[in-house]
Amino acid sequence: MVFENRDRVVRMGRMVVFWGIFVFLLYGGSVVTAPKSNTAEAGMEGRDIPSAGVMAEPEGSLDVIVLGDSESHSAVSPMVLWKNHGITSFVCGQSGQRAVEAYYMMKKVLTMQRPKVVILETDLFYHSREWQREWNLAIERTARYYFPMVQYHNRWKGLTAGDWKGLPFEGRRDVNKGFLPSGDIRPYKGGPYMVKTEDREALKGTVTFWTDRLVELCRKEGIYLLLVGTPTPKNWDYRRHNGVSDYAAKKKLPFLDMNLLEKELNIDWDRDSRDEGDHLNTYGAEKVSRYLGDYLKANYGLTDRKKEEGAKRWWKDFERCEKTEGGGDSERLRCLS
Amino acid sequence: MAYHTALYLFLFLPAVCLIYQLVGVRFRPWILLAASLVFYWCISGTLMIYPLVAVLLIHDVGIWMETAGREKEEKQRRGALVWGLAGLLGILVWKKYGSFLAANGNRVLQLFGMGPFFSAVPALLPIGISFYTLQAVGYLVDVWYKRIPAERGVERLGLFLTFFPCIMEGPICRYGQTGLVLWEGRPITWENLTKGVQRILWGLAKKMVVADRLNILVQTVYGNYESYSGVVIGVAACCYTIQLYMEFSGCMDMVAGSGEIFGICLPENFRQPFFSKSVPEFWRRWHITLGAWFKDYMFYPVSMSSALRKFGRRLSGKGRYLARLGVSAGALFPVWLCNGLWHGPRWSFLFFGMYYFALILLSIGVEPWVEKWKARIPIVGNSRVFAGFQILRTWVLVVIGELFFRAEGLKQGIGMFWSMIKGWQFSQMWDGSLMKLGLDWMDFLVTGVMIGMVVLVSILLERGKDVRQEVGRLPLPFRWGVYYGVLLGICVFGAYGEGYVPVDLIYANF
Amino acid sequence: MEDVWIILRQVEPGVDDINCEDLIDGRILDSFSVLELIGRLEDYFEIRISPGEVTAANFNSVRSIWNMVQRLKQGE
Repeated sequence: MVFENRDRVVRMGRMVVFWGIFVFLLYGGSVVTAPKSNTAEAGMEGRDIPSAGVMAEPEGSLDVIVLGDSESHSAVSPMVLWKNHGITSFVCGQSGQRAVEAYYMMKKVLTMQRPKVVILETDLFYHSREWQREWNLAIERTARYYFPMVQYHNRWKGLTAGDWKGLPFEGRRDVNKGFLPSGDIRPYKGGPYMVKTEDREALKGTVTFWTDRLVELCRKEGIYLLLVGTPTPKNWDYRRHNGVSDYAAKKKLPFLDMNLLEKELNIDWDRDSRDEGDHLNTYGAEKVSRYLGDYLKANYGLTDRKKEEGAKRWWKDFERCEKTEGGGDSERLRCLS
Repeated sequence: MAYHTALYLFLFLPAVCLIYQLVGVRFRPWILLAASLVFYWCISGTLMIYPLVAVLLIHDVGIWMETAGREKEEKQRRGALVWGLAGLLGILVWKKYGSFLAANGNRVLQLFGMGPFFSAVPALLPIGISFYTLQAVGYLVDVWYKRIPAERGVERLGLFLTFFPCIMEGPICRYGQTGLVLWEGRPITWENLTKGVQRILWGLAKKMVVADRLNILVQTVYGNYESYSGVVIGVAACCYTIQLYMEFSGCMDMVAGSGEIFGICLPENFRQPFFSKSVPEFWRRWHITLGAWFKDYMFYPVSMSSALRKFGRRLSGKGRYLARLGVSAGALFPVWLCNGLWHGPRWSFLFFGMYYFALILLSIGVEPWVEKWKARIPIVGNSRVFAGFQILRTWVLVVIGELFFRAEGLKQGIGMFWSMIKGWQFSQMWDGSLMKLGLDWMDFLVTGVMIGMVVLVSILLERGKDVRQEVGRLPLPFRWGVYYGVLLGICVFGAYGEGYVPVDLIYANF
Repeated sequence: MEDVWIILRQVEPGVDDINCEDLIDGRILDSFSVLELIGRLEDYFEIRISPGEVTAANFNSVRSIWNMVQRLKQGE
């Protein structure tokens, strides 16, 4: 009997040590393979680059963080918020960002920032396909959060000396603060799309599981969470508005659906969309951002940071983004219209 | 859900293991049954009705045959068998081959100037139907031959047909061997757990590091086959053969490992097939349970049927050789017809079956001359060089078979084969054209290393060694080094994540 | 049992151990040899072997074949 127990203890111990070393190896592998900068050359994936710029911002300098899918980075321009109200913000959206990704993005941002308000663009509430796929994705994204190697293991083909040394992340400052401007004009011609109805499009459990945790996280950190729906005729309708509205009511969150504020925003669908109603262009983004800035100022009493220390840097970034010219498909366009 | 997904490996399987171990012996098989039904629901949803119907069918027919045998006549018994087989095979043929038969029936009608009559809409196939139907048929035939008693417990037959490790890609089990063990409810022991997990990881490595990586090259060439010729097509066919082996045998490792955790020893499906010296031997080492099924439930019954026996006797008057050849042809033809078509309703699969039928018949046919030749020059006949030649020749024949197997139809297969031969230029091997197919030299290197490891393991297995035991004997640092090597190999070199398209299990589509 | 051994050697001359228990599992007899063996056994012992009898259990050793033959002869 004694032998049996001792055997068991030894085996347990060995197992713990074995997997412990493996976790350490994964951690080490993550240190090596994680991109050392937010550029494609450093191995970062295109989809992650705009949001990764947040890690290059000075610690504790951001008051507002925006999460969401491509709607967020095409409709919200932090520089407009800065210019009008001195609000420091960053768009941490990703193309097709899912709720689980928003949650982990928030956790990552919280390691360096202490925002007062987090804006969640609501398009991501309906980014969900077949449940098994979503569960697999959730497991993978969770693994990615703890071990970036899960995402970047393919970099084994092109690791640099800097990678092997495990250099810390050195982000390149993003003058657009996560906003991806576009001067393209492709009008939306579909007419009114918010036709009032009592129907609601139900939210899936694979989404609300993660948004619930995001809500909890914000509550714990004392952060205000604001749900915002930016104008997007292609992706939104009244049924979705109702679905998210119900959720917001249940969670006692404010829900600002700009799809119902076309008049207040002065949206002109002949001019404000870059791709026929899927995303806004710089003109539309300015309108949305201006309204958003006013709303934030009125409801959240955010400090006007224009008089502060770090303001100089923001003004420098502002100048740079204002001056960047371009046309058509070029990379960096004027951040303001 | 599939055996290589995160959902299975990190959620489903651990949950089942935990619940299984915590409940008492009596409930354990029920947990497996419940898990199998949940698993089936995840992969095929409401189509679950089909395997359940099959379970009820074999349960009732099996008992009917047994009671009929006692009280009523042989004829009634045979009637029951016929009904049972008709039901099982009927559903299989209807679901799987319905639209194929309809489409070709329409074609025949059009030849006679008549309009299309049959509706050729492909039906949604319940996953695993090709596997569990064969298991069900095997059960009925075994009861018919009184090899096993009819099973009274419908839940046991249920677990036998739907056991979640076997349902997607086999192995095709026999009730007499596996069915009874499944219901024993053995506890999960430490040893079984570690051995099972090791085997699962090994299989995962084969699939993720080699198979999914080579898939890129295969997809590139096959997806655009008219732009390629010669060596490139040959390489693509080789890579597909390796991909298929790595994936299918890797999946079988994952399946066997899953079963092993529960103390269930599932039959092997592979026995180092690429060490085969002849095509018949290859088919005794590749997809073993399918070949064994055809041997026991088609080949022997057909070759021992009175019709074929009479034929054999008539021929044996003309010599033993001719009798053997004639009976072989007669019995092997339906076997290979079915083997080919079992993979799917495509003419290229039929061709695949007939291709091997021809080769096997040929090897039987030339056997006496080969034996004579070997006897005359024993040095060469028994030499290693000759054995090497035989192995190489088998590889070539198998790769050609797989070339057609992978092609989207017979026309594509013939086209690719022809352009491979016509455009063959050895210079293509080193002029860089192989690097333009989606994989670079680093990919080939990693693939080569993993294949090397598989070859090493295969050699050990061929020599009768238990690889896990051998590794277990190594001193701890080396042992753990091997384990970490495999684990990190999967994590780092696995062909998953960005830039890779997830690859579905190939055989699950059959 | 000697008769079975003689017939077996006629079909598969390579077998040299009468106590071999591995004829099927060890792939010493292939499917065609089994068929031939069955044919000769049926002719010699005047029995009828059904496909259901073709199992490894029955054919793995000379003894098991002999047992099967006796059983079939008695059953008639």
